[in-house]
Amino acid sequence: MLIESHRLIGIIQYIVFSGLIISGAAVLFTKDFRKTMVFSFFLFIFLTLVAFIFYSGTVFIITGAGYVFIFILIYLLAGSNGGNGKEAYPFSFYTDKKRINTILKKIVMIISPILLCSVIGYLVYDITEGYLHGAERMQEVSINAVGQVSDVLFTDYNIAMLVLISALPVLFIWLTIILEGIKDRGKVN
Amino acid sequence: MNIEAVFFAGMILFLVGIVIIFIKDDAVSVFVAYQVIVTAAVINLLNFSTRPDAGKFWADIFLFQGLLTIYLLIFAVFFHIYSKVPGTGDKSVLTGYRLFSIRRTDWWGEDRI
Repeated sequence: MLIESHRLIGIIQYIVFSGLIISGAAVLFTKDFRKTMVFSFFLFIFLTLVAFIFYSGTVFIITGAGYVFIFILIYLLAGSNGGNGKEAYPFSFYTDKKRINTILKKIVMIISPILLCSVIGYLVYDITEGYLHGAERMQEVSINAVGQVSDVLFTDYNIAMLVLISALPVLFIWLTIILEGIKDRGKVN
Repeated sequence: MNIEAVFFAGMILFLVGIVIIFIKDDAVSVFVAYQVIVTAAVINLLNFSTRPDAGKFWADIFLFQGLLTIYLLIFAVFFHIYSKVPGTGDKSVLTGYRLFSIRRTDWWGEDRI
């Protein structure tokens, strides 16, 4: 189904960007591992919608598959380290460092990045406001149908080459693990 | 949404990711922050590929950059894992240092022989 209604696409774009920002910011306020994974799931959903509401969605589907696969792999590996997942967090980057105990240090650690990013955001807004003000799209955005995606994939790209390129990262991981296992087995024997 | 609005939305998304990296210290939240930052970069690439002077060439460039990013992410994760491995071969000291605990049985689905 090809959607060319600019009003509908505009509404979808606002929903997607709002969802991305809210889902990302909600991670700041969660202390439970499962809730964090729920928000990451929403991030995946909105990211998939982003692939469809832009002109280059046909191309992004190819890279988006590997992109989603890699992040799901990372989440699964991080979650598998936490046992049954009932812990607050599976593990921390700062397990070997001293915990910040004082409230003052906690407040400074929270407020200083927010202030820094606010200043950066204001500077970027102030500098680029005039530059992008008159920029308009010439190519109209439309939500591609699945048939169009398959047409572009089979006509403009070599499917065998794409499958081969997509399989290389998995092969790299797999061979690395196998070689590590063989090395460990040799030490035991 | 015009190019300017999408650009500022992507900028807000990027800054949210930076704030999460600074404040949160657990691995999953940091991965979510990485994902948010990469998403902001993807949105900007898609956004500027719709400019009047952009064409199929930029779409191909984006495909190449996307695949390259995925490769670099994998190599970065594996470099982080193996850069923490000491030369002694003692696995017990790796607890708490390795980003992931990947074993052969996770991929084969069998017990270690």
